[in-house]
Amino acid sequence: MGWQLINTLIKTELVADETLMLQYAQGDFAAFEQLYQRHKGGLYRYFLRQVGEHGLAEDLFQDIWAKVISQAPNYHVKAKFSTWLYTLAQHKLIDHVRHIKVVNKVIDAAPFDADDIEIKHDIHGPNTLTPDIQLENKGAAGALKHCIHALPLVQRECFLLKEEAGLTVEVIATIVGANYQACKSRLRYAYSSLRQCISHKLGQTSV
Amino acid sequence: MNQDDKTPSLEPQDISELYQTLKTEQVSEATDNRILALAREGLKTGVSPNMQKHQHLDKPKTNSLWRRWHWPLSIAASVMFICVIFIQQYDMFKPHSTALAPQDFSDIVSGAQRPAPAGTQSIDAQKALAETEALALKHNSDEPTHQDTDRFAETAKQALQARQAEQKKRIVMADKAPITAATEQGIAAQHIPPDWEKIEQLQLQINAKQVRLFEHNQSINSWPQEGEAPDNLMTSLNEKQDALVQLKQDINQLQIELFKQMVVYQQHNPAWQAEPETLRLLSVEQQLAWRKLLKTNTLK
Repeated sequence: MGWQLINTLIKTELVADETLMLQYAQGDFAAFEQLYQRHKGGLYRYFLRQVGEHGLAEDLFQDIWAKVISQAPNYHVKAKFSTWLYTLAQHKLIDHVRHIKVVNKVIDAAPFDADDIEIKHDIHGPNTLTPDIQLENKGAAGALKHCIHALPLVQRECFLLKEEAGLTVEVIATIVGANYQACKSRLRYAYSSLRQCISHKLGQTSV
Repeated sequence: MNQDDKTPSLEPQDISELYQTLKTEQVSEATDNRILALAREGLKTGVSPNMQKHQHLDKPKTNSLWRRWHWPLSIAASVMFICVIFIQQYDMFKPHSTALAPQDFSDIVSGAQRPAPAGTQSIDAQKALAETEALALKHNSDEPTHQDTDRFAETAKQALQARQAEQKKRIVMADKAPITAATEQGIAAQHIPPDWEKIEQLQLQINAKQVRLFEHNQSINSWPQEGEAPDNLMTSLNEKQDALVQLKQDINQLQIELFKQMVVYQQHNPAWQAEPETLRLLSVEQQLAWRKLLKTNTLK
């Protein structure tokens, strides 16, 4: 009886993420599928907005879910599932950024080659969007997308955690390792920067 | 145209709503399939604790004797080990049961009654102490010998030797033997009034000291006492030995004094014959000297 109720609830999306994860740990594949469907879009876009490249975003995305699967037997409900998921994502991103910085240092140390400049992958720069993404940047939505990419890393990640994952400021502060006030400031500056950027972009296009 | 008029003033809410329209990108189907396959694979390889729980049922049961009996065997081995340790410890600290027979008592007392003349007294005192120790060891040899007991005897002997070195500094060495002293002081003795009361007093004192010596020897033979802390064992043994040596020294002094008094009394009372009980209070050498003195006086 209990199992039937849970299965029904899974189908109607009324079961909490944590319960789904525990069910998967018990051997219920359908629970994992449901969990995956709920969070795959937000997590993927979180990576995409940060790295600006579909392939890399998918690689990072796949790594995170592989980790979720491997840690399922040891999963304990200490926090919300989304908090745990995006904490893993944030750590993965930091590792990736560090790796890129090391690679860039190696590249910088190498003899100068003009052809190699294009290979540099600077996620902080505004000009690293791939052509397919550049084509998407049209209108206000496009301006917003471009402006998000131009935000500083700490503001961008706070903004995306709020908009994509729907997390509160307190939870975001926990994930990024900052205090509540700092996180709130980052969000405020992020919205302000985006407003100015969009205004500037739209002003430019209108002219 | 004013730029500000054309650009909309965006509130955070507006930005959020605008962003919601951007949430169109999705992960590729290939990635979806890969991840779902990983999830299925995770279940097959035992991600589920439930699956792990049931896996052991398929394990073939081993009929190893050790596996079936390892707990009882382990417990039995532990109990045996504890018993062996307990028995060893009990043997080590078992009191030496020495029910002394009367003849043993006389051996001890006679050993205490044989302090040598002053010059060699310390050596005989040491001999008496060593005899006491040897007697204790002899009693111990009747019991099943124990390595720890042998070690203890060795340790006691070593402690005794160390004490002997210290005693040499403390023992008051009479320069002259009682015989010589008595002879040389023979003329002077005439001037010393005989003091029978003193002789009786000395006899009583020697008797009392010898009883205490016997009791002390008993105490040493029954060392260590039950309940005595291991750290204090050697200290208590040393204290007992010190007290034993002191008693023998006291007895030696009293014997010398008694002999002097007896010689003086004999000088004044040539017909006086000392009782055997009085003579037994003296050392062997003193007894021999007394006999010689009597012979000399008789010849005179």
